[in-house]
Order: sequence, then structure tokens, then C-alpha cells
Amino acid sequence: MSSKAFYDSATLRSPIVDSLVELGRFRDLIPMLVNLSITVRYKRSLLGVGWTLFNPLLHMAVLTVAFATLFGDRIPRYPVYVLTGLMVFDFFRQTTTFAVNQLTWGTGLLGRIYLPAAVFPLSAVGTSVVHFGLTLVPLLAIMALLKNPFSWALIFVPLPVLLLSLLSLGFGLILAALAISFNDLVNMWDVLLHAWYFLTPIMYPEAIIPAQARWFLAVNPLHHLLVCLRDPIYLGKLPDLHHVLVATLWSVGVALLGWWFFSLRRFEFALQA
Amino acid sequence: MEPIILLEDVWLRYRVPEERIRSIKEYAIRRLKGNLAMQQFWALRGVNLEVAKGEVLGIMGRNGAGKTTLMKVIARVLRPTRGRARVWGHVAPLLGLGAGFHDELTGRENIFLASAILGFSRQDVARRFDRIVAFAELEEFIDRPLRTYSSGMRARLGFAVATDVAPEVLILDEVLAVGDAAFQEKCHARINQFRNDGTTVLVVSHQASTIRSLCSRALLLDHGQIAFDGPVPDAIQRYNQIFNAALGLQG
Ligand SMILES: Nc1ncnc2c1ncn2[C@@H]1O[C@H](COP(=O)(O)OP(=O)(O)OP(=O)(O)O)[C@@H](O)[C@H]1O
Ligand SMILES: [Mg+2]
Repeated sequence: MSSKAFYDSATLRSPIVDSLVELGRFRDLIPMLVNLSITVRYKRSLLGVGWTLFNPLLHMAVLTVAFATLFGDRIPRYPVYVLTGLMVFDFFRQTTTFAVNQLTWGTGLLGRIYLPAAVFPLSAVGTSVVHFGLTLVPLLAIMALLKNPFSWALIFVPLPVLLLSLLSLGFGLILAALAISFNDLVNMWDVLLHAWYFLTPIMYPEAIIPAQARWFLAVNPLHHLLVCLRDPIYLGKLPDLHHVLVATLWSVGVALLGWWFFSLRRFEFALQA
Repeated sequence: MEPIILLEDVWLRYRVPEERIRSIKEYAIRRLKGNLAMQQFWALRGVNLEVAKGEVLGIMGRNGAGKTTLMKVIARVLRPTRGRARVWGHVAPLLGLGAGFHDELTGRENIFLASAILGFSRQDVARRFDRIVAFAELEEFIDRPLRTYSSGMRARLGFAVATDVAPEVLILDEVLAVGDAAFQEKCHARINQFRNDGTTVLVVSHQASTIRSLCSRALLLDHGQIAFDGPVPDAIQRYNQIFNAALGLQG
């Protein structure tokens, strides 16, 4: 009996391992889906991929005009401060919402042919990483313009990006798996994201947060990730170890939880199609 | 004979909420009221099936009998709710011709995407690319966006991508009407080629003539159960019986 491509519906490995193994044969699909989402999204827009760069820059410009006078004393080179914050938050927002869209589109396929469902949320992460990479170009330009120090600490940047990917993937997996059944979840998530955006020191300094709200800062994974990214870029120094530890714990924990939850439900998607 | 497909007591349940709950709000309200009844629908009820390597099996049954569901279980799309399904080999499920095609991409890009969705590596597809295009006879159009293709052209591309590599199991679920007459001829020739090379073929059809001309054995599905499994003439006779009985009930 040929041992290749053997399928047994009754394999009794844990879903976490099982769904990882399934991904192997489909690894070429993920970069293709990333490429698809980027080309299709921008094919018909005038600015093309430039829009990716333009959007956070516009956002940054608006915030700078609005708040630079208010926070300018405490935050020199305000645009750099804001842009790093936006890059982290946009990454999180885009990945989680895009994971839902991708899986919704994917269920049409999952009802007809076999493929591991996890490729859809994973491609959402890939797309955000590409966007992040593109936004680094204007960031570096603005840093140079404002004479922001460039320090060797910049080599630390890939780590927070990796952790941010894991955290966003974890939330994206859970959201996508649930949103297939509940279509008002996306709206609730939008509201939550909105609040989260204002509760994270993206456009304001950490110091203005009142004492009784500090606990949220301590448990907010986006805050710790933001410090890990902002310290090397904006201040040119390595972040405190405790930020790195908390961010790692959150990211790895949520990614595992999301992977487990998604794997448990992965046979349901084809039934819902 | 060694089996290539083995289904043991396979049951498959679709869950159909009485009225489909589509939001968390509704779910919460229903839960509070203790009113979360799901209508369970068993589309397959205890199917046992053994298919040998190289067999050409016909599957018949009325609409809703569970034929497509059974094919999806074999193609790994649906996991049995109960029971066990095993398949030794690569399955080419022509359930979704052109699955994953994208209008905005060119024919070329779509070949790569659809192949990746079927689990082929990029390198592998690059090697077979010209052969796929030649079979679909779309050389002139291959760099144009798919939205400019006619539905027949799409179907040709889908068939060419899905059948370029000879599979161990080929599933034909009422997809034999692909493209124009000349292309259909070509599809049949390719399917026959597979058959001769030892591919196991599962043919779902309502047409007795199709089953008679292709298959050596036929299944009759009725309400998710195998009502008959055996020689083709007997299966067709039983199919007509069930059909006439149903007509009689109505008439
Ligand atoms: N996604 C689904 N959710 C709920 N019920 C479904 C779903 N898909 C199929 N069914 C039900 O399962 C039963 C079997 O469907 P299936 O598609 O397997 O029938 P079939 O034999 O292929 O019919 P046809 O000859 O029309 O193609 C039908 O009663 C159908 O209503
Ligand atoms: Mg059918």
C-alpha cells in the first residue's frame, strides 16, 4: 500500500500538532495569498501600493497638527513618536480584521476542496508584515529629517515585530473562528479596538495616564509591544527587560490559545459554507 | 484486492439551526430563554464502502440523497461526524473546478494560485506550466485577466489545472459538461487515460447512460444510506424502482 498522501479521519494526535503538520504541503500558498491581497487591493487604486505608505503618514500628520503643541514639550520629534505608535496599532487592527475577511472568503473554498484553514489567518499576518516593512521607508526618512538618533539598538526591532505578529495571529485566529458563526462580532471588535486605541499611549505620553488607570497599562500587551518597538527607534536604547518579558508572555500565550481554538473548530468551517 | 478507499460506518451531520442564529445578540437571547435547538440533519447514515485500486464506481441517487456529501468525505473536505474514512493516495476532487480563481489575476497567475490551493508547490507548477496551458488551449489569453474569460474558458482552465497530474482517486461530481463538444471529447480522453493507468474514478451522475458506459460497479444512495451496491444493470434497475415509487407517491 502506498504510504504517501495517506488520509485517515481518525488520527488521534492533538489538534495543535495536527494542524501544523497539515500546513506543510501548503506552505507555498501563504506567500501567494499575501501577494494576492496586496495586488488585488491596490490594482485599481490610483496611488497603488503608495497608499499603504500614505495612510499612516496622513494619520500621523493629522495627529501632529492636533497634538504637537499640547505634547510637544514632553515629546520632542513628535511625528516619530506617533508614527511608531500607529505602526504597532495598525498592524494589530489590520491583521485581526483581515484574518476575519480572509477566512470568510476562504470558507467558499473550504466547502469544496480540502486545504488547511489556517492559511487564511496566516496570510493576513503576512500581509501586515509586508505593510509594516513598507512603512519603515517613510519612518526612516522622517527620522533623518528630524535628526532622530539612529542607534545600534535598531537591530532589536525584528523581535517586537515577531511578537506583534504572534499576538495579532492569536487574536485573529480566535476572532475568525467565531466570526464565521456570529456576524456581529466584527462590529463589536471594531468598538473594542477603538477604545483600545485611546487607552494605549500612541499619541500621548505615558505620564499623563492617571494613577487609577495604570493597571490597564500594566496588562495591555500593545503597550508593552509598543515600548519594545519605540525604545530602539525613538530613544535609541534597548527596552527594559520587563517589557520584553510581558510582551513575550502575552504574544506566545495568545498565539497558542488561538491556534488551539482554531484547530478545534477547523472542521466546522466546511460545514458552514 | 487492496482498498484505496475505506469507509467504516460513516455518519455525517449537518447542523441546521431552526432559524439560523447569526449574531451573538440572538445567541445570548436564545441561550437565556433555553431555546437553542439545532435541527440535526444526518446526510450520511452508517455508510460502509470499500473501493479497490483502479475501480470505476458510479454513484446514483435522487437529489439530496447524499452523493456530494459522500464525495466530500472522501475528498477530506468534510470530516465524518462518526466513523472512519481512510484514503490511500492523492484525491483530485472535481467538485470545485476553478476553486480559488480570482477575477483580477491573469490566467497565468490563476494557474499558480489554484495549484497552490490544491497543494502543489510553486516549483512543481512552474515545470508543468506550459503543459497545463496547452491542454486548456488558452495560449493567447494566458496573460489577460480572468474576468475577460468566458465561462467555458474558465472551466477549461480549471479542468486543466486539476487534472494535470494523474491522481490516485478522481472524483467527477456532475462536471462532465465542461466547455464545448471538442473540449469535452478531450476531457473524456484524459479520464480514460487515467482509468487505463489505474486511477480509481468515482462518477456521480443522474444519467444511467453515463454510468453504464463508464462504470464497472454502482452505488445507489437513498436518504444517506447505501440502498444498493453491485453490478451496474441491477443498480440502474433499483434506481428506476425508487424513482417510480416516488412518482407513484406523488401521483
Ligand atoms: N452545508 C449544508 N448544510 C446543511 N445541509 C446540507 C448542506 N449541504 C447539504 N445538505 C443537505 O444534505 C443532504 C444531502 O446533500 P447532497 O448535496 O449530498 O445531495 P446530492 O445527493 O449530492 O444531491 P444532488 O443530486 O442534488 O446533487 C441534502 O438534504 C441537503 O439538503
Ligand atoms: Mg450533488
